[in-house]
Amino acid sequence: MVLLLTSDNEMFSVAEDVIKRSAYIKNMLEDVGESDLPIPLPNVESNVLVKILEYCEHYRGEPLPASDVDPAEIGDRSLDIADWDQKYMAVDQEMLFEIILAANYLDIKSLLDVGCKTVAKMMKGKSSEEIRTLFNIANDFTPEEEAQIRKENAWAECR
Amino acid sequence: MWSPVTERLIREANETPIADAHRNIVEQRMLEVEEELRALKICRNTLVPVNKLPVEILTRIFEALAKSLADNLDWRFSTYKVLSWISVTHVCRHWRAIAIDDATLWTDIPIVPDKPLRHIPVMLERSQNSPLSIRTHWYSDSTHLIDALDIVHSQSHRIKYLHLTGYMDELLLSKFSGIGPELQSFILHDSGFLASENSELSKDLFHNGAPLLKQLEIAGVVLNNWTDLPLGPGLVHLHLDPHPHTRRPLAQDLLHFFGLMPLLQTLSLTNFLPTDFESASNITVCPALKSLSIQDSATSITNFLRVVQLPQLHEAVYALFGDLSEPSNTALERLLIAHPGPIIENRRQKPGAREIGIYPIPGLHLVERDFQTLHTHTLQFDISFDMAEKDTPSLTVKLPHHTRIGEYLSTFMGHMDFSRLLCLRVDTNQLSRDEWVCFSQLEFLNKIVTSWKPLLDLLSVMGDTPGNILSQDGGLQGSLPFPALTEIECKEVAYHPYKASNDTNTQNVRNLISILNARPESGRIRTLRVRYRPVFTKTHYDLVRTHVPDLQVIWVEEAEFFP
Repeated sequence: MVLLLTSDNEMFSVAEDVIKRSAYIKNMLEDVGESDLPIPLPNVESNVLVKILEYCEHYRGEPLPASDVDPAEIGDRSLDIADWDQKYMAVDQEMLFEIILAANYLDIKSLLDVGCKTVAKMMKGKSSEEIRTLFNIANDFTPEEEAQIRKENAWAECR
Repeated sequence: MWSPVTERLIREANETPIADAHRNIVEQRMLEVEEELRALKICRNTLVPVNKLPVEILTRIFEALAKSLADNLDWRFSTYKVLSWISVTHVCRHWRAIAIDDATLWTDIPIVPDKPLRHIPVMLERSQNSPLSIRTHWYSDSTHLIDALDIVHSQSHRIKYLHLTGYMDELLLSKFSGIGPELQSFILHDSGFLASENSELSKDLFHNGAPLLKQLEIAGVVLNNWTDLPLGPGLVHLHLDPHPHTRRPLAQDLLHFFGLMPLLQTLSLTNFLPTDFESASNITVCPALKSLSIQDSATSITNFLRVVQLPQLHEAVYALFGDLSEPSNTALERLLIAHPGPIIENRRQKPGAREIGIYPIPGLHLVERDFQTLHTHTLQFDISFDMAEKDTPSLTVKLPHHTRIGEYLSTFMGHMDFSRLLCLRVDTNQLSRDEWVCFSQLEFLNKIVTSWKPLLDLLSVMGDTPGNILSQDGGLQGSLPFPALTEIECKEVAYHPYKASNDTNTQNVRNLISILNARPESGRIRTLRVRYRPVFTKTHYDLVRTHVPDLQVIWVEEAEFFP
């Protein structure tokens, strides 16, 4: 078992084959070897780690994705997301971004990929104004900048 | 309530003797306040959850969005939709700066004739020196398109992916001559209806070589100069579907090139197999080949499989044309024997097929250079094997049109072990009662998916009393037909095609009910999934529910398609 200490000081005891989906933890275990000391995760809160572990548990035993695949290459360029992953990602925005941040920090490539696809999918087909509303972003362009953008990108807007 | 400066300006507005001067001061203040407001908006934007994501993740999200749209380029899906991801650069300053700084985001450049092409110089500039993906769907020439391609040509040294579809001509291809040093993927699909025997692939296209090429896909053009293609050691995916006027290669040449491509994983050849394989004496190994797709005569494919070893084969698709009229399915039989994997070994040791799908392949049929809207009756026979049998390649055989599965079923059954079959999907009208009987004694078959016409025959076989069915060897079969069957899915329900009266349909539903109820407890059908068609009404649904109470009926409405 591996001990993990979250930023809000909660301790988790996790099976090694579950948490090894995290390349960060896997490398750490290989570097440090067996230890009774917990691995501190100062960037991950306990409620987020619970979600991360749910993902790792679900994919326990599945082969880890190859790290040398060029994502731009032939292969999955769609935003298709497996059913289970979609349900897993059906959380509020704050948690969604926390999961992505934690996946990035823990180096869980497949989860980071699903997270990014989920956000991209939320934006697909939306105008800039709709995206602002979706993520509660204010329009901070000057009127001149807006005019410039419209002119510059007229080619993308013609229908 | 207001800032002291604003308060003062408002207070002094009615007191000042020089209105113009005061108005200028107020306008200046308005600008200051707008700037202040913008600064606050920028500050606020840093605090929204999405902007907690670091730049590299936002970049990744933008790229995922852009890539998901890039593959949708065709003549129905014009440039502006492919580039609709650009809206992320209009959201806020932070996002715009990230997007413009990310050269990769601008590297996938769509080109569609008759659409504004002003995006090309902008994208080329923002992509900096990154490798480019160029996709064009070419169906007409125009001055601005030629201009655009000239601009692209100036960057041909950094083209990494080049995907050309539509009507090819020498002018278009000349715009890409000399590509190569960075090229990893080249796809050229000439639209069949305009392809001509003169659409020969230019020798100049790859005159610089393409040492990094991993994917090569060419369809519709004459490939008599195929040995000039960059078939190098790095090639992973090769797909050749040349124009019918292409001369077939010699066996020794093709085998020689296979030997030069040790990393090849995917091979797809359409009517491109040599006819002189029998003269080839040496065995060639494709050590990494996982996916094989060949459209040709059964004899040609058989000969190919005899001289090419495929130790890693995972998936095979054979589309058979030409020579299946031999008596006793000899050509098909020889092919099944030559197909690699243990399915051709001693029958007792064959791995079990888990699922079979029999599908029609609809579509246009190309006769010479004219499309004819023939309803081709090509059948596809998909076989998935037991997942535990990792080394058994999945097999799909596409049979020629105007065939009945029954003509070939015994050959398939003779060379594969169907005894562990779990699921049978029949999406063709051409399965007769006798052919259903072939499957009726499989002891693990628990699910059947069928379309409308074969359903009556299936019901007929299911309604047979044990002991009344003639087996293939002419003896009587003694057990319940389809003994393990628990689920039937009707993809289309029309108990009597076209002209059935409501009474006929209702009578067929009653027949179904009596057949289901006649089955013993050990052989009950538990689930009936029915897709809505006008002939299966709510009344029929209620009738089945009422009279077969232990049956779960799932009625999938598709009223939106069939009002």
